[in-house]
Amino acid sequence: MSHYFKLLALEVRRFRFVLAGMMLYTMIIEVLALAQQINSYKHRFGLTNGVTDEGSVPPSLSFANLIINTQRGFALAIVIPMAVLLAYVLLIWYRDWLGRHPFIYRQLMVPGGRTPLYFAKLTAFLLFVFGMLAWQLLLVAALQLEYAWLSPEWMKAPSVFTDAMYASRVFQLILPLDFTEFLINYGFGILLVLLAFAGILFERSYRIRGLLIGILYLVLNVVLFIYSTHAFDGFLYPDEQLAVCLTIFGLEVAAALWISLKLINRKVSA
Amino acid sequence: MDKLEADQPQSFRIKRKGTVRYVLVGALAAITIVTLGIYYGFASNERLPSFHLKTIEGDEVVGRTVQLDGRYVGRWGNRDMRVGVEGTDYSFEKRLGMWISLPTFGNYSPKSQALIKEHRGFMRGKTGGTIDQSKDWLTIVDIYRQKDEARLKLSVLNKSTNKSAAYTIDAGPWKDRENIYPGDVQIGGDNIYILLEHMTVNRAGVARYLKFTAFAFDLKTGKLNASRDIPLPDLTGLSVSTLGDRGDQTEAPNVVFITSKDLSESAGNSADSGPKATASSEPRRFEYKAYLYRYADGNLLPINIPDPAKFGRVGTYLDGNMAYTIHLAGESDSWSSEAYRIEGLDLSKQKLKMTYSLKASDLGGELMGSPRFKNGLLYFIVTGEQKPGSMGRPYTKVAAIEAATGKVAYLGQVEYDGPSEKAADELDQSVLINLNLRS
Repeated sequence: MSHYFKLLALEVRRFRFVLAGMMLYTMIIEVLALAQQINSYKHRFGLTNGVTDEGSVPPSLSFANLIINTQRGFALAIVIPMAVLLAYVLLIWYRDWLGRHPFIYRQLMVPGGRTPLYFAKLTAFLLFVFGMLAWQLLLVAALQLEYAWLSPEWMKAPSVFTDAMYASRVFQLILPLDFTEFLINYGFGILLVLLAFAGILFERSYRIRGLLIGILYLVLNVVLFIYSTHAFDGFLYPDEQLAVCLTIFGLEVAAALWISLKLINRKVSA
Repeated sequence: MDKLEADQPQSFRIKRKGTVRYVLVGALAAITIVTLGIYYGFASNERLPSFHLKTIEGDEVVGRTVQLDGRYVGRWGNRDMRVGVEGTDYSFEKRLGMWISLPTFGNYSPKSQALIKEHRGFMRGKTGGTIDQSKDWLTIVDIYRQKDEARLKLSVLNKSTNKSAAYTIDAGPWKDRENIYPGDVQIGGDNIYILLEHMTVNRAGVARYLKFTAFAFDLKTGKLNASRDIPLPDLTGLSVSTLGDRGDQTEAPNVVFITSKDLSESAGNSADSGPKATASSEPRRFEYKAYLYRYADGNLLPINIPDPAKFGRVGTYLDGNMAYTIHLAGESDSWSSEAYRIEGLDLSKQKLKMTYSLKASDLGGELMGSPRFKNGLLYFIVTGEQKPGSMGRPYTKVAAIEAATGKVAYLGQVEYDGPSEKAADELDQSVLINLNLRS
């Protein structure tokens, strides 16, 4: 177990600057996008002494409404870290084979077997993903403070925290309000990571042939899972169909873990 | 005091480095778990207001058949919700990402859901068709086309023995550009009666009825007893409405047809040539006729209905020999009325048997929505007047009235369960104006 924790700490430490960079990037883009929206709304009405030329007070704009107007800014802030994390699914393995004296020589020689190495990489990657989600939640809370600080009194209107999360399409996708939906989405995401890891280990074990097997394995598993969501529409009831999905999900997770552990322990070489 | 060893400072340094190694991963994991935990524990959908239908008067069993569909508008983007005796459901649709909707019971009608709960095996794979049930039988009728022939598919469940059967009935030729569908299905004793409506639509988009056929099928023996074309008068230029909403009285299975004919000069032969634009300011005149068809003996009787033009304007519900017609009374809009007048017509005697008024104020409200009918009960949503600037109603009640007597059989009210303290505000933002029945 201590090997696992040491390797996990190592993986997190190796990615710490990229992670911090992504967090900083997200923060800067979102803070700027929100400030720009507040500023643009503030000056839309050409106010003098807090009233328009016609003497009326312009309509207020809640934080949630402001978020809906800032869709592009938030998409930009989230899509790039998302792409980095997607790329890191591959890099978390391949970076160890790069260079004149690949680090993988040492990692594969670590006493206590190679299983902790696999789980350390997997946990580290999931920690980065969920860490970014937590960071996004903290940022939204911080952006609420920015809204309160930058908005003039006439513009302020109350809104609930979850309204802001629901107002953005990208937030709806990455942080759905319903916890079951969160479990479903990230359960599928974890399955994809496991399949990708298995694909990478196929490639590392059998090179070009392994690459083809890996791609085929990944595609087949994804198609089978998505097919199972509506495969027996009309015959099976939704709860039964969901049970079929969960069974296929469980089998795919178990198979991906078994294949990956077999490959890393018996086949993969530096 | 222990003796200070020469290598002590070095071992201390190693120990400290070992602990520091885990600070980053520990902090990241802790922040992640706490933040996501707080969000999903305290701030997500779980914090949306919850309601339930509380029984004030009558049997809660009646309340269990009611489902109120609507929206909670107190949050950005509004949230679809369903309220019943058991509470509130917001999450009846689940998605995987943005594109894949996961299988849920949310797409099933409340009636289908109730039937699936009760007869899981029989209902399997039956996604369409017209459902009817009595105390002893549950049937599903479907029609399909096979090589220019119409076929009726009849699925039958004997509730007492729990045995099911499927039958196919030849329903005659199915011509091109002809639509055939079951206009009425009802069980009477151990027989099922199916009314097929044959119609066509001309190039101008005007529908024309071709014929009506009635089938009588014995559910016990599995044999077709009779198939008869209903001898309605010349259907050319006629608009026909079939009254199919019915209760659970199965002694005298029948169907009522209301035909209407445009007598205005401008109408001409509109059924064949399509609607014509007219500059005439002459008000359009219609001739209405009503017919009662008895499935058992195949008799078609012209019946004398008072004011057939209004017959079924809000709703007419058949229950054996009784036809209950709902009329608006008092101030009304497209959705609700201050009061309704209910007329009970005895079809066998062609006599008005009773008439009474139902006022929202008698049920502790100000407005009543259009009714639903089931098992001899008329179900109404009763609400308070909408305040200016408010989306919801200050309160929402459900009343079930015995159609034959006008007595209140059930009265329930939507109650707020939390989580905030501002019950009145949350009710004010809940729009619950769709009443569905689960059986």
